Amino acid sequence: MIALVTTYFLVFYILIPGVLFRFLTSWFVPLKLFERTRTQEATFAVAVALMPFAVALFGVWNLPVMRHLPFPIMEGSASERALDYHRVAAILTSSDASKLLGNSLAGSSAESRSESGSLTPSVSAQTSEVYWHSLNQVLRRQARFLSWYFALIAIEGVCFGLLARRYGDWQSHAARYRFQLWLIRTFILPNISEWHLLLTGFNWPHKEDIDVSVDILQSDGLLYQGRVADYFIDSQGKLTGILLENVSRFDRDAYNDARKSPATEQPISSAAFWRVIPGSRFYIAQSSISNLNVRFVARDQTLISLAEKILDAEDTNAYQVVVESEDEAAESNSEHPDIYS
Amino acid sequence: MVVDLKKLSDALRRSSPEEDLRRDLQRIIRARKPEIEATLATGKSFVLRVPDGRRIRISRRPQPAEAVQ
Repeated sequence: MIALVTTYFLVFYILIPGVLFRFLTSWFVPLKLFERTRTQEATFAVAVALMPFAVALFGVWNLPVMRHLPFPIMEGSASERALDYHRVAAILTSSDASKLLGNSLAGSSAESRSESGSLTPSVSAQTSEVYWHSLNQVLRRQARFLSWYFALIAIEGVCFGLLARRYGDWQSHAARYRFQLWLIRTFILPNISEWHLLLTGFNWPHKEDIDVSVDILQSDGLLYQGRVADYFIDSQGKLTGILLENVSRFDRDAYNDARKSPATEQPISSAAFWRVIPGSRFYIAQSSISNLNVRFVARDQTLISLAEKILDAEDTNAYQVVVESEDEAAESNSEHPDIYS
Repeated sequence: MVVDLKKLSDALRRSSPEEDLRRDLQRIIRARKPEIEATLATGKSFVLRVPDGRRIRISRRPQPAEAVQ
């Protein structure tokens, strides 16, 4: 029975809050899904559950609505409450709980039990009823406490998720948002997958609208470049693959040929040897990635204004600049690569 | 492998995407300025590929007289 009670406390007070918190925070930022040891799991759960536990405890003892709802009961005095817990403890530690709950448990009358001699003379039907009543009171109190506790954990999880989403914005004003940044860096950041930091604009202010562009060198020597559309991690938090859009492949053979050719004007620009790959999504599995060059990319409007400024500074102020769409880029490139080669 | 996310975050913030882009553009435009000018002088537009894969089309702004025509 003691083992059962210990399991109950472990599951309802530590494990479920930890899981609930992670689940709700993951709606906003993907947390690491690595397998922790029991100690790590418990430490994490205790850390996130401490505040909701204290608030829930204070609330169900003192605050008007939380004191009675849900699972309302007629609350007695503090000593009556203590007596309820004493009785439940007696049931749990008793070697034979049926002796205390006997009559109701067996569904027969106390008298018949007394006749059979299975109950001590002091445990009457009335006593049994008292124990059942205390058990019911304690269960209802537990259910009420856990309801508020889980609700507060859920609120905390959502708040932390929302906080984490503002991380990039607040980093730009570190002095003003020192407390929020401390919260995120202490509790959220260590649990976020490093790939989320590397392959999304999480680290940058929302208004900057940062995209992530990667150059991927495969183990077979092919070099791809594209915008990260999505990424995938396994249960250990390891990268399993990257989904790219606006993908180009570097035509290394043509580039090497051009470099060797005496007819080509040297030095040659590598920009002409990127071949646009038709199609909107391109998946590269982690197993074929040799290395990865990550670049955080400012939005198109920034590119245009920077290009215009630089062209002006270079004394070429009579020009206008537009960013080509993917389709235009594909059309302008007559040599489509054989992507299956 | 345990990665210190705080250090990673700080390291990533040390560079600015806009500043990186400005540097890249400056380098490319300076290197290809003669080509750009030569192409624009013929009335065509010049497509420049920036290191992140985007392409910008640079063209001559229409003169007021051309615009009327």
